[in-house]
Amino acid sequence: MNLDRVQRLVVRMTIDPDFAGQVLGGLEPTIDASTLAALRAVDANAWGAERGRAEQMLGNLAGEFPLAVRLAAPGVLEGFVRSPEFHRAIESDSSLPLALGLRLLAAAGPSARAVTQLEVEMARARRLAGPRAEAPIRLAAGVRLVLLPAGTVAWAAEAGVAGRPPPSSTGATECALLAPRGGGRWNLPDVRVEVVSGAVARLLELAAIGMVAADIVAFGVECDASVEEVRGLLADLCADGILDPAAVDV
Amino acid sequence: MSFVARLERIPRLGVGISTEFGAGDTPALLSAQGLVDFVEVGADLERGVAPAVRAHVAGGGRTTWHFLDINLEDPADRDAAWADGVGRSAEAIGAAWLCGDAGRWRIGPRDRGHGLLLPPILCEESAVRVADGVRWLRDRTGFEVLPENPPGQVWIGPWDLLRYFAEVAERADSGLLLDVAHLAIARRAMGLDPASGLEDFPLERVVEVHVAGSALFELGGRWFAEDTHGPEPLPETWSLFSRVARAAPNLRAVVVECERNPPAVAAALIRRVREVWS
Repeated sequence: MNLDRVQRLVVRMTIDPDFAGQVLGGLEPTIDASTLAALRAVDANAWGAERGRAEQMLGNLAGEFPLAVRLAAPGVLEGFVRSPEFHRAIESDSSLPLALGLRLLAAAGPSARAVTQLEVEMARARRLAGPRAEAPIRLAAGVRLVLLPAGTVAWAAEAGVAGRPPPSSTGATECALLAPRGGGRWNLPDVRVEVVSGAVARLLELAAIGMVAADIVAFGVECDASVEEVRGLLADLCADGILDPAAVDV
Repeated sequence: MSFVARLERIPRLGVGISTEFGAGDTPALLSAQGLVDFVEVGADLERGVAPAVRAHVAGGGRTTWHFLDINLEDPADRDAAWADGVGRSAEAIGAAWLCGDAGRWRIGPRDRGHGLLLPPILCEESAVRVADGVRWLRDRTGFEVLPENPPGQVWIGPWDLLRYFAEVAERADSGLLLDVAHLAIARRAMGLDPASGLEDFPLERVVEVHVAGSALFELGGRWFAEDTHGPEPLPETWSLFSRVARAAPNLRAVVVECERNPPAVAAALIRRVREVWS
């Protein structure tokens, strides 16, 4: 018996009763005979008796996607425990919050899609530094830019009191900057979200793919700004943790 | 140094109450009123300890550290930085020892939503892993480490639960934390007599006992019990506690896990526990 494999099976079986039924019915061909015998030795009712586990897990996960869960169709959150995303995350030791985010995104209707995408990107920003450009002027680790329907960030910030529907993905867009703050070895960071517009948005888009010294001049020409003004903007963005600190020395 | 030799340095703490981040005021109130002798601090490095615990320590209160974030069954989870952090935190609150459920506190990465409490697989390979984990944590932190039998309805593996923990303690040369409420819950789930296996269990290694209330529920015509930390222990929990308290010669501490109950309710349960062991 592979202990780690068995523990993953136990989690999946106690959280997803349908999966438990499949396994105990011998319908999961990847499970070897000795493991299946060990699983079948447990009283069949006991699999359903860990009744708080799914509820606890969903409660903890949902806290990271409050608006997406609120906007989701009935049953989407509860259905996560039967989804391929859930089972894949457990089997591959990958992030359950990100798996739920993907499920919510896949199930989101047109009116929920933008806000769900924002919360999923925030969850990513808390966890994934992601690949960064090799150039000296580049985004700081974990900083992300997301293109959303105009008004999405404001709607999310005011969603507790706003009665209006969320923005949908037709028409104008806005560039949202997501910047992780704080956190440490044992804590996830908070994520600051703000809409950036005009020259700043353009500069950050360039920094996302990487800029060198010559790009400062080109960017200044594009925006009708002097090199000193561009360098001042770069310094501010470095000080704010949006750009890699090395950018200030370019 | 052997467990028997180390026992000399393990203090007798008396009857304590559990607490953890967000548990409310009951532990602090009962401690301030002198109704408990110490506080068992359930903690992880992500949340740390609550201000009330710091106040308890500042007032000279005694503690133990109950970890909530280590998979003792998983060798890959032996993170030196984590152990050093726990060691420093436990020292800061003057913990007498470390303890906690021996199994898995999460599945997959250290991340939100991954926390759950899984019993170990009851077999030799798992017992070896957990015992190695106990030794590793003890060596790394300098604290005595007491593995605890976790709650659970699903128990996999060829060994009996008590044989498993006896083997862990023997291989780790450690003491044990026997949670009699968890044991009663497990025995119900297994369809066994609550005291099954106790006759061969090394009670001389039991340093700490947990007592807690449970709630019964019916499923498929069978009655299971849930670990609620409520005010009313099962009758079999009481009988197990009475037996162990009488027969465990090195018992140093009993923790009543009732931290989320109103103070008067928790105090009543603590009084009942003191009538059995004090």
